[in-house]
Formats: sequence, structure tokens, C-alpha cells
Amino acid sequence: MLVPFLIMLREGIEASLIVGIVASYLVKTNRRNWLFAVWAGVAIAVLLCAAAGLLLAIIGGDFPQKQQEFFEAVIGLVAVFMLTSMVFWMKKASRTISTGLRNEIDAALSATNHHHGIALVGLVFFAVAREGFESMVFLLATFQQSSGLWAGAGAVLGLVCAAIVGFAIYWGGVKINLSHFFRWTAVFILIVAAGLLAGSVRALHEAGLWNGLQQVVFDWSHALPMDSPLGTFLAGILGYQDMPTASEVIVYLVFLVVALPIFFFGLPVLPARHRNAT
Amino acid sequence: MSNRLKLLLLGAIGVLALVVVALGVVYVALRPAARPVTGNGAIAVEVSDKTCTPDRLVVPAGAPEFQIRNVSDHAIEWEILSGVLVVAERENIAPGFTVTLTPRLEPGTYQMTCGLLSNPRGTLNVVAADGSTNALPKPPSLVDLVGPTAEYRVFAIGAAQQLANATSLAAKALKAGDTAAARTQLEAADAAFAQLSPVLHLFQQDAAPLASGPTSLASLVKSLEGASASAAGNADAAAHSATALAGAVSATTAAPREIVAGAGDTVAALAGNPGDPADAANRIKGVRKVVDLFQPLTARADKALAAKIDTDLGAVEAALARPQPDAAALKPQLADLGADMTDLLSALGLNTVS
Repeated sequence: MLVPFLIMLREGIEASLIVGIVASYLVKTNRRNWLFAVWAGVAIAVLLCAAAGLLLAIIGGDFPQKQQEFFEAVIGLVAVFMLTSMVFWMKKASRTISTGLRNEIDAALSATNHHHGIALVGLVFFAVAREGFESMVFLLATFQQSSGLWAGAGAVLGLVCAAIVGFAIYWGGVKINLSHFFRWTAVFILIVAAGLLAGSVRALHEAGLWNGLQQVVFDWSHALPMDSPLGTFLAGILGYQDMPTASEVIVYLVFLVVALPIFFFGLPVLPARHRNAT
Repeated sequence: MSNRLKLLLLGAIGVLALVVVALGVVYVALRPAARPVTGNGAIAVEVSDKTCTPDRLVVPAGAPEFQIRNVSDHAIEWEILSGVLVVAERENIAPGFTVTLTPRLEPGTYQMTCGLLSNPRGTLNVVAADGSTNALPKPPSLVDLVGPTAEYRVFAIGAAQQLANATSLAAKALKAGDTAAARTQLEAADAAFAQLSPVLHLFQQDAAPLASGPTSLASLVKSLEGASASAAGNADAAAHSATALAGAVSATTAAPREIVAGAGDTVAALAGNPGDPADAANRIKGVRKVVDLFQPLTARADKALAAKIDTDLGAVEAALARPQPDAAALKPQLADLGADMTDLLSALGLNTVS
């Protein structure tokens, strides 16, 4: 039962992580009223995936793995973009807070509030949908194929634990004071985004669309296999792979090498302009 | 968020929940039927920690069904690879679980991953109906066919024009009593007519009078032997048909299928009865034109066939060029070429009527 538990834990965390980050971000930016839409988005995505999974099992169709991988890649790339822009937006917002101009954030927020909110709810919906369909197929298989109920129970427990992880991320994000929130969660979110980006490159490869740089960089499948508890946890949250390919490692590192310095020190152009002005 | 929107979302959730419950009931009710019966035609592969059993598979092309059973104690994924390209895969196969996949596979040699991705890979040979692992020929697209079709049209218009001119000149010469000139023109007309054989089936009405009966080019040539009162009249009628034929040819664009199938029919007719060697040689010239125009596409779709056609057509041409062609030896050669032409039709993807 351990393996079904871990598989569902990983797939579940991949979704609940994004939900937790988005929900805490909405609360931190005074948009608690959007939370209802977030939960509704999660519920609708879960139900749609459940319906699709049942339908596939009833008609006895083949799971469309390639299309699923493509879908995962696209949603992953959208999530990378939105998480990254959230981080930089938070940085701007917290700087405004430190100068005491709280009203300005609120004004800025209410102007872009609506579309931004819809985009975030959309991200939550698709983040859940991207893991949900495959998870539903897996869940049905555990109930269908195992002799006892243990495998199915393990899989369900994995999903429950993944939801708990999502809530923990949400509460953690909400409890941290905003200026800390932005500094530490921002680094965390950027690392998550880097993992998502690498995962999207992998999904594009498995969808048959990207075939460059497929050399394996290192093989930790014996030291820290992905189906071990720690490997699963790291895979779910940080996008850990036990045998990453060159293209995955490159985008992961390039993303962090570009994003982290920009986050901490700003764009190199900005200080130059300041010097000219003074 | 407005209360109305909240209600709307709650309603959507409620409806979806009902749908899921309904599907769940159907699923539970159908469960025994939905479960595939193992064995029938499915290819079973067991994956252990180190290897696939069997680790060498030969399966027919098309959509073979694989049943992958994980007998290791790790979660595995199973992939069919062509080099680095993932052709098909299943992820998250828990220990003791079986998954099925039914990928579309072209003939060729593939690798399959067995357990950990670093484990040695199994070999998967996908064979065509004839037992070879050669990739199925890819027929050219409609766009590819536009070029040769247009070029053939130009050729056919030229030949039909030549036919019309030569027949008219022959009729004039006959009226003037110039038998020698009439013969030259009629022979030129006959040659042009024979070269058009592949597409004449599209122009039956105008071509028939030139092919048989008193106004046929062959009987006009014969009528030159002795004084024939009706020769001039028949030649006029032939000239009229030839002009009408030339008009019809220039007004029509034959479809690629009609051209290639017509060339095949020409060869098949000759294989049945080679007839006059000179006439047969002219007809084969018409076939050669078709073969040459489509040759680049043929070579791309099926190199072996392109080479075979080249050899067989060359053999027929060489046999016909001999001073005394041997009809008995010619027939099997023409039959070979006829079979090639049928293959050509399918290699070019033209064997289905669209």
C-alpha cells in the first residue's frame, strides 16, 4: 500500500501546492473574498476529472498519455509564468508597504483585481485538472486490481495527505508577516517554479515534442529513488527527478540563476538609470 | 464575489457531483464487463526490478495491445522508445498492477524500458504484414501530386494538338492525292494517339472513332494501300474527331489517379495482346512519360519500387526496340510491368477512390 500512497501523495502535492500558494497569496493581498472561487475551482476540477476518469473506465478506452503530457506541459508553463509574476508583484507591493503607502497597493489591487483574480482561479482549476484525471484513472485501477482494499486505501490516504500539505502551505503563507512572506516564500516559490519548468520540459519530451539534450546528467535512482517517501515529497514540491536529463537540469539552473538575482538585486538596468538621474 | 456568482458556482458543483455519482453507479454496475479479459491477442509483458519478460518481442504493426504487469516492488513507468523519442508510455504502475496500452506502431525496431530507466532495455520489433520491419511507405500528399499532374496535362495537350494537326494535314494530303505525305502525317498522328493511351479512357467519345472502325488511324493507313473512294471522307471525319479530342484534352485536368491507373491499364492491355510492335512502343512511350513525371514521388515513397519500375520498363523498351520483337517473351515482361504499375498506384496513395 505504500507505493500507491506515495504515487497519489506526489500527484496530489503537485496540485495542492499551487492551490496553497495561490490561496495564501490572495489572502495576503487582501482578496480573501476570492477564496470561495478558489475552492469552487478546485471542486469543479476534481469533479470533472472524476467524471472523465469514470467515463474512460466505462467505455474501456486507452488512457491518452501523450495528450495528458502535453496538457501537463502547457499548464506547467502557465503556472511558472504566473508564480514568477506573483513573486515579483509581491516584491513591488512589499516595497510600497515599507514606505507606508498601503492605500496605494489597495488602489493598484482593485484596479487589476478582477482579471488577476480570475487568472489565479483559472490557474488553480487547471493545476488540479492536470493532476486529477491521471489520478482518477490510477485510483480506479487501485480499486479494480488489488485483492484487498489496502492499495485503494493507501491511494486515498495519499490524496488526503497531499491536501494537508496544501493547507499547511496555505496556513504557513498566511501566518508569516508580509515582509517575511515575500522574502522567504518568494525564494520558495521561485524554486517551485524552477521545478515546474523542468517538469514541463520532461512532459514535452514524453508528449513527443521535445527530443533534444536527453542525456541523463546523474542517476540517483538507487540513492534517492522517486518512489521513496523523501523522494516523493521532494518530487511533489520541488519537482525532484532521480534521473534528470540535460535539458531539465539546464532550464532549472538557468531559471534560478536568472530569477534569484533579479529578485534580490533588481534588474541590472535599474541602478544604472538611477545613477544617471542623480 | 457576488452572491449570485456564488450560487451559480455551487449549482455547477452540485450538478457535476450528481453526474459523478451517476457515472459511479454505471461504473460499479458494469464493472465485470469493463474489465478486459486477459489473453486474447494482448501481448503480456512482466517487468521486474531488473528486466522485462520477455525482453525481445516481435509484434504486428498497427495497434497491438500490451498488458504490462509490474512484478517489482517499485513504482515503474513503461515506455516504448525510438531512439530518444517516446513513442508510447504508461506512468505510475504500482507493484502488482497491470496496465494496458494500445499504441499505434509503425514497423521498425524500438526499445522498451524495463523497470528503472537505467536498466537494460528490451527490444521490440514491429513487423509489417510481409514480416519486414521496413517503415511503411508514406504516400505523397495531394500537394505533392499537383506538380506531376500539371506537367502531364501540358504533355497531353501537346500530344493531342500534334494528333489533330497531323490528322488534318493527312486529310488535306489525301484530297490532293499525295499518298506519301498522307502516310507520313497519319503515322505521326498514330504515334501521338498511342502516346495518349493512358488518358484516352477519359475521352471515349472523341477517341473511339480514331481507335476503331473505318475512321480509325490504322484503317486510314491501310486504305492508302489501294484506291479507296471513301478514304478522303473518312480522313475528314478522323480530323474532326482529332480536333474535338484536342479541345477536350485541353479543357480537362486529369486526376493523378486517372493518369496512373490509365498507364497501368495501357500496360495490362498490351500484356494481353502486344499487337503491332511499333504501336506498342508508342504506347509504352506514353507510359514512360507518366512513370518519369511521378518518379521523384515514387522514389520518395518506395525506393525499391521506383528501381523495379525503372528496370522492368527499360526491359520492355529494349525488347520493343529490337528489329523483330518476340511477342512470347514480351508478354511476361509486360505482365511484370503491369504488376509494378498496380504497386505504383498504392505507393502513391492513389489506390483508394476518393
